[in-house]
Amino acid sequence: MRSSRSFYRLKVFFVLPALLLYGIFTLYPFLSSLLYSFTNWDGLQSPDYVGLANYQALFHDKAIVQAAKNTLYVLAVMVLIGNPLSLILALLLNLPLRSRGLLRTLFFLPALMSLMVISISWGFILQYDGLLNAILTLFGFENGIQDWLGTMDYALPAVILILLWQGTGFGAVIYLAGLQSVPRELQESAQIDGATGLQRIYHITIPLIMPFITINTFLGIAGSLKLFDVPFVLTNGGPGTATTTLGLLIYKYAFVHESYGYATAAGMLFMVLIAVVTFLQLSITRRREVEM
Amino acid sequence: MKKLQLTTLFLATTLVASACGNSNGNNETAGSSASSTASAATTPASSSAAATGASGSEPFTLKVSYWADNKNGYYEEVAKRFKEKYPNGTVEFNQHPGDKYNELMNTRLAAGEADDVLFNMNMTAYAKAGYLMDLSGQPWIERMNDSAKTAAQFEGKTYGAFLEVNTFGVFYNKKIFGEQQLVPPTTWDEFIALNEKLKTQKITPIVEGFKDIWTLQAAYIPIAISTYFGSNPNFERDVYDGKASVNGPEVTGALAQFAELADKGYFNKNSLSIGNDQALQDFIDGKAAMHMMGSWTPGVIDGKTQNFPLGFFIIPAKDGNTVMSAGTDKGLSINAATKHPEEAIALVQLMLEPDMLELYGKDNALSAFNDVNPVFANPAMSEIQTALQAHPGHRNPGDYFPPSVQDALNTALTKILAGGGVGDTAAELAKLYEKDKSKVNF
Repeated sequence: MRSSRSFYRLKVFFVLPALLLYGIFTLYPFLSSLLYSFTNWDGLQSPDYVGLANYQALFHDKAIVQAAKNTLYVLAVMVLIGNPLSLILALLLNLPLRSRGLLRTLFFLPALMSLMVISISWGFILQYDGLLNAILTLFGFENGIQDWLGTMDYALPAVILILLWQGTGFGAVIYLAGLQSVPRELQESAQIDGATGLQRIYHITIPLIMPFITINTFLGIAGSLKLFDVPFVLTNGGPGTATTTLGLLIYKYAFVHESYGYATAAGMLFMVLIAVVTFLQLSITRRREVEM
Repeated sequence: MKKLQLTTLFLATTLVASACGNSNGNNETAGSSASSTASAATTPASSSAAATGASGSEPFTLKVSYWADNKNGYYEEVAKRFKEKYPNGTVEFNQHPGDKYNELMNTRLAAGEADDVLFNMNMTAYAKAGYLMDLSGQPWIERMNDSAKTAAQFEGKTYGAFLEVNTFGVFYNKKIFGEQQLVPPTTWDEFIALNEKLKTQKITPIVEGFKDIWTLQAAYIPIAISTYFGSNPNFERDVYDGKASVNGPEVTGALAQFAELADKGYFNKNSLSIGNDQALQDFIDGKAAMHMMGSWTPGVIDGKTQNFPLGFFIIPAKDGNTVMSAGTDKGLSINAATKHPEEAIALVQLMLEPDMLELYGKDNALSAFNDVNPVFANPAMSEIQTALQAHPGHRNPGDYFPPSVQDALNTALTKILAGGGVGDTAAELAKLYEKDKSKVNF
């Protein structure tokens, strides 16, 4: 008895440092944010309690609707196009090619770069006097020249393309790990039974790598919902609100509009939204995972 | 680096500025005639004989935050002179990027970690929150011009000084204008006509670097200053009192005129993808005939090139009531929580001595002090001063709008530039104004 109790104490003792850090840097800020979200705090003066006013105002906020549209657009593309793209890339990189190692490295490289660096570099490529327009001019497509980040129609697609370029390789590496866990004898016996390549992918590979699909979908959804840095650096959410995401809007509410209480309330709702969406996604994809 | 100096626009525009009043003298606030006797009771320790500097006292350091470009060695000179007076004292100047200056100051003040002496962009907001030392009764107050005096006041007390006066208008390349036989316009229609002529001649009429968000206001202010205040100098006060609306002819008019310039293609095609530095360089290189910007521009151009044929004019109002912007800039205050109040007061006094301000302003900025006349090598500066004397002046449009309204306005301007049209911008701004009205400090 005594030994088990002291063992319990020992366990608590080992957990304590992590718990302390979590409490100071996550739990405490979270709870104080919750309190601030019911105030009119402006970052300068002491806050006054305003009840649910911030939350009520949020539901009548047109800017949030526009930002939510942009964010969901990014999410849809990343999950419905980006994710399958990663899987296809992984399947290709899993083929017995001679340059496989080199290709894997090349495709994974963008994931190692900081989003800041990526954003600034792509900014130089896409700006009006940038590389892309120079190439278009070189090949005689002067009429196709655009200020890619300065037009309402192209700014958001440009941001999404950058995200795809950066994220596809990363997703592919996760899928590659999954593909290598699929037992070869299963594939071989299916082959002997006369299954074609595509049939094998659909009936054997996909069910077996479902956990990896779950992870990649989760990362894609969470990443798209939280998207902030690329539009912040590239376009500052513009032109107009064409590339303003929910994360960027909340940042603006706090640091530009100096409405910290309101921004905190928006952040709280945002957190709930992310939790709900990712929970739904996890419960759906989890159900499709199979046991070996 | 010039960006820092140019971010002065931020002060003029994206912020809820300060105390009431305008340079037209239509001042309705109490305390506009702030006689120093009225506030004598609240005057902090006088700075007369700062015995602390005497030899044998403890060594101390005064920290100063600023964002402007360090031109003419002003800061070094201040530090040197302070050392002569206070051998135990050291002045440490900390420069921070202008575009993030407010966020940084707000955070540091809230955390109690701000420097002793603060250049700042929203004096009244800080005064209201109790962060600034009351400097009423300081000898240099009387030397400031009226608009700077009122801008430094909150509820009848003075919380700092302003080093500069800024105005905005159109800088033009006299060589290009001469070749095209163009003269500065006297009506809005003439302005449009000359833009049109330049465009047909395949010359970019106006070059701007709107990738730097603050530059949007450099193109908007010269238009809006007249539509907002041309027929009603108290427009922003009236909005605050509910007698006028943000969704009225003043703002919609300014937006429409800005949209006219954008829609007719008078701005450079890459205006949304280059920053201000490149825009100015393109202007210097003769790639465009005009550049709408603030009055520090001649000084910046002189730092980059010799004998540039620079001229200046302001944009005529559509209805003939042309007003010129005259905003105060580079607010200087003392942190209420400083551990060395006496020394900080002495330092500020030193920084504001006429010969120090002459050094500060040389080829750099118009002074907010009546007894300071900086030397400007660039003749365009005298054109600016002549224009200022010839037209009614007013503090910048948006000085009494909440920061959210100014931000939404900038967002709307980028949309207009991207071909998205004006839409119901003014109505949305009016809604935001009502929501954040508490952030306006008259």
